[in-house]
Amino acid sequence: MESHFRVPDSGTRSIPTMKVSLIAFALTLSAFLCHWILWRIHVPKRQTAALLTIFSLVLLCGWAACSLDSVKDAGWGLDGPWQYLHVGIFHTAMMLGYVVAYSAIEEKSPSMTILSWVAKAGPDGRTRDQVEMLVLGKSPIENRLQAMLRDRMVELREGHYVLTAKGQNWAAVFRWWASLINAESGG
Amino acid sequence: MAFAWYPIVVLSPVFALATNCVTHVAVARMSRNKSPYRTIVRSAIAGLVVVVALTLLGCDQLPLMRHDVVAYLVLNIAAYLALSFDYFSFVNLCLTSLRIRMLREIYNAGGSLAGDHLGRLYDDRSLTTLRIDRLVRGGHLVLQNGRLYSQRSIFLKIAKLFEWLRWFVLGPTADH
Repeated sequence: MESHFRVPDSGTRSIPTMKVSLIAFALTLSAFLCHWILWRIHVPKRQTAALLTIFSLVLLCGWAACSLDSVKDAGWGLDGPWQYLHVGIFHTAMMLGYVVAYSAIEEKSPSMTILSWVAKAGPDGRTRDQVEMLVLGKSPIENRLQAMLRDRMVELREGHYVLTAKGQNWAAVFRWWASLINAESGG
Repeated sequence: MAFAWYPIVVLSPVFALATNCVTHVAVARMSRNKSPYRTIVRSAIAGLVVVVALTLLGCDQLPLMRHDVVAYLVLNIAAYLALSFDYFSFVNLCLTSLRIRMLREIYNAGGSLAGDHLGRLYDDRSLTTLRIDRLVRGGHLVLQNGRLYSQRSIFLKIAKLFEWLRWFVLGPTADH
């Protein structure tokens, strides 16, 4: 039995669905591979923006490749906008998920740093002062302010941190959402 | 018309994410005193049910072989889990991110705050003390005779996983 969809007004057409899944997984894997190789050569300054660019470009190239007649003749073309969208939704979901996970890879969480460092000491453990010095040396507040400046969320004007339009929008979104779910923000 | 069901299969991760968000907001507003993470897990499960149901329902209306249905199911569940992870991270930012808290602090002060004032509000030493206390309270660390000892916990496993990922992605030269 051959796999196919019935297309209105054009009878039946052979569209192997495993193909859509395989193309979607292959594109995401290719994007990850491109990023992995590029990072081995040089880690860019604005890593999140670079990741979004790489994943988006791979998706566009994949879509373009799947619309080529030669690729379609070989049985690996995508048919119709819904198949393109299916691949696009999967790829975008994976891209955003990876970007979120990457932020924890890019910048180590202080809590995770403490846990790993204490675990490395084994049965000897660490004193509270030692742990405090480890994290204090990394100055979490300064790091975050630098990150906000780098992401253009705030600007430093005469010793004052001033919200940019982008920062104001994000602050409003987070404030609105936290009130919607009755959440108290932490830190 | 069988073809009309394919868009339902395609859009099922998006519908499932919408279910996740709406369920989470509704449950969070109804149960104020419960753990926020419990409501997130429950709403994520509601979304998972929706993505599986819609994919199976859509595939059932299409003349597909079983392995094709499995492939669509795997594709849609993976996409939904990634979207759910994004939503979880967004909510987690609202709840725990120091950066977002500082952003909101500046916003609440009218859009500008002195660096000194921020430094006093978020003193490094008190934040570190809070963080260590939270890890001890959560059972991730044990404090005995003034020394901190490691406990086997899921958080430690996650920390080790991220150390490995950092090494894998950034290479052996990465500081870990």
